Amino acid sequence: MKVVIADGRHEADYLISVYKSRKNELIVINKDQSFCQYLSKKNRINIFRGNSTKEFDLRMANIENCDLFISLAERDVDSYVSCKMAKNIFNAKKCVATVINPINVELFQKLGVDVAISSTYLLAETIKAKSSYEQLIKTLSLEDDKIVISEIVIEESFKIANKSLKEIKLPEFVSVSCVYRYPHVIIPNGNTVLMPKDKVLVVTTKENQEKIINLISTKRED
Amino acid sequence: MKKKEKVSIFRNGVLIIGASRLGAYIAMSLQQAGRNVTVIDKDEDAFDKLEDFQGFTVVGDATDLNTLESNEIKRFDMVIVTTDDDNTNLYIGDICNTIFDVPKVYIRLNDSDKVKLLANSKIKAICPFLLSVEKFYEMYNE
Repeated sequence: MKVVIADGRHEADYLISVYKSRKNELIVINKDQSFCQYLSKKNRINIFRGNSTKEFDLRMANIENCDLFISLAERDVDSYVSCKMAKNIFNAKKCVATVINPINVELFQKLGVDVAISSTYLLAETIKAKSSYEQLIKTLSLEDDKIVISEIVIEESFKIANKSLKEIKLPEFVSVSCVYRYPHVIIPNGNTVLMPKDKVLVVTTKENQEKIINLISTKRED
Repeated sequence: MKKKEKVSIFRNGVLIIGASRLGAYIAMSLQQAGRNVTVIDKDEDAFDKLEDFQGFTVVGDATDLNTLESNEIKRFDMVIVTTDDDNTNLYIGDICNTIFDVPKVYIRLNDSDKVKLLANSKIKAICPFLLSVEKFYEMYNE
């Protein structure tokens, strides 16, 4: 695989060690002279000193048709322009940009950068996922958060406990895909009864996640 | 599908991002020509270049989506991006064109190589280098 790593400091250093060990064709571009020397000495590879948002420099670094272009520039606008250049002029197959401002994650993707990563965004999402709905629920997001799989543990006090799926009549926007009752994994049908301590995996869209979790965890009134 | 807005937003007004010498000059002359002009710059001192200017000035960073949204970018039918940084101009130009669908977007690009990035886009580039070359040959051929 032909991989280009543009700019960045310790992230670049780490990514070099990751991709170097997998025997890829690795091209590293950095604009800081002394940092280039450091990277080159430490990783024993050639580093190209140049500006990753200039067509001439990218051409000299020979990034054409690379499989992966990673931009780690300090400013979001620079990451954007270098990715766009790699993609539009040098035919890069996949571009990844790191961004500082979390709202740029979505924006970059709308503007045609394949993947945008913000450490703040990731951190916030992780915290949100971990802290929402207490520790009761684990969630897994797929397809850019469009699909969410939530794990809910059924408690004795829930209204739906000891009822079959047929009786519960869940709304259409949710699918109970799996019930884990130690040590068995049950693929449920209408007759499956949800017992206390069962772990239930439900698939929903992101918008409906909260709704469905509230619905399932409604307590019995008595 | 989203419901179509009942009242179509009436776009008029010119937004100039970056009160550089070029930006400030265009702002003043369009205003004199009777256009409704707003200028955004992240540095308040940059507005000193605007003389007898009756339009709006906004201090803010236009690379931040919130700045554009809070200034109701959809009110403008023309955006001219003239900050002193090419990458910033390209980025803001793309946002105005792709995300906010502004009908006319002009950006300044000092690096003529970057003009290529605007292929297949409605954005028009003002490139001092290419203009100088053109002017030179015009004079040369006289």
